[in-house]
Amino acid sequence: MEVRVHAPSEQSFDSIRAVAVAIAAVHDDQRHLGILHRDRSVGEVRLLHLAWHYILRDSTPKPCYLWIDPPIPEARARQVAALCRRVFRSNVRGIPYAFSAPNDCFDESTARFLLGPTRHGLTCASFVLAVFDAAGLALVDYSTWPQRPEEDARWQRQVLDQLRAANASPEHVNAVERQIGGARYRPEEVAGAAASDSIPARFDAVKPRADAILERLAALRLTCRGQEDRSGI
Amino acid sequence: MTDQMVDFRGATSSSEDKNLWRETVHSRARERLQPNVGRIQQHGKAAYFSGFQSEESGSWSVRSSFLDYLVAAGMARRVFYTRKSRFLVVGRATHRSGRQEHFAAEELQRSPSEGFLQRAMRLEKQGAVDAALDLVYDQVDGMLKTGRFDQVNRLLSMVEAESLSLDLLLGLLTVTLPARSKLPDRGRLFSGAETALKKRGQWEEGLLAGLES
Repeated sequence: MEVRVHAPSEQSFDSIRAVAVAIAAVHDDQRHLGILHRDRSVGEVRLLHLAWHYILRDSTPKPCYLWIDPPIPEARARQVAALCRRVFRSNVRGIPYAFSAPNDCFDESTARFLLGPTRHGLTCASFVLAVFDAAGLALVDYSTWPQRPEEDARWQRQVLDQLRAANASPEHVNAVERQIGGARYRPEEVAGAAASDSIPARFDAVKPRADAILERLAALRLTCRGQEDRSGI
Repeated sequence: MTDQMVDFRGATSSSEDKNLWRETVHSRARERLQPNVGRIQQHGKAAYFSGFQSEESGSWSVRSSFLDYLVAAGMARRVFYTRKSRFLVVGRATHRSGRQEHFAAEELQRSPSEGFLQRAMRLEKQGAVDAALDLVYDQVDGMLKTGRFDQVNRLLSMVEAESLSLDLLLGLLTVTLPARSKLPDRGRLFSGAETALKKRGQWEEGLLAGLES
């Protein structure tokens, strides 16, 4: 696993093939996840990430991120990169933050990518899953993901409070509240899936990799600016 | 259907930056196009695009090879033709801060779907692979978003896998994956892709995994 998890101080973002998963610690008990993608037209590596409610960013990656090279053919990695660019172009208004499942995010009745009438939004981690899923490269085996209603509900309720504080619409807040208790895909777990030998990765294979990634973040003392200032990530 | 600006990335630069970009493009045009190609015009609304107007005929005309050059040279992200033969040149500008911004504009077209694929192949030949992929993704996704499944399916029924590169084959299969149940001829392209890639020695295990119809 270790050979595919890199700190930019050891191997720069320029080393990515076409796409990589990036994870950063934003404070002690919170991580943030995004997708590094190479745009050869402009010679840049960018970080596509769902920073917050209706804040989808395609930014210059900060050195506080670890990056993980997913186990996919390079030609497919180029397609994920193209998809990243397309997702950013076609979601200029951002994407709402919620706890919808990341698979099958394409609504066939409306042909609208990522969201349809039955989906309310994504988290930073489920956004990453959704993009890879849309490219036919599911990172995780969803059927193996545990339900952790007590642990996850605690975090989900914090997010709900933050959405209220951010003046999210009452309809959205109500929809998100109904989603509390659903499966949560934690950033380090999605990163662990990307670090697996093959995808879709089962949860039992992901867990030790996720723990190792957390240890690596802690050991390198890589922390991005706090989540309170969402512009920082 | 009228030409319609569907989406604008929302990034605009200062007038100074736009002028600089426009002057640069214009000087390149003078070098590469016939001398009688006329001025560049900037049009308003939310999009930033420029076109060339022939002073002789008074109608918009353009050399597609020049537009491809702009993309390959990194001076434009994307170029589209419209039904009225205008084109949109998506530019980029450097702010005083050094921050680069890319303008993006999408436009729905009713031009034959095969047209954009030819352009993508030409871009790819010039080395602008990512620009070629962006064109394919924008065009096909735009058609899917507006429910033109028949049009996309017709494209898939006509395209020959042997004529497409690995990247364009995967691009078509990837961008059409979410709507696969509405594209009966997608399976034909998938099978053709597998055959063509194996024949060309580009096949590897898992290359098409997850893209099946």
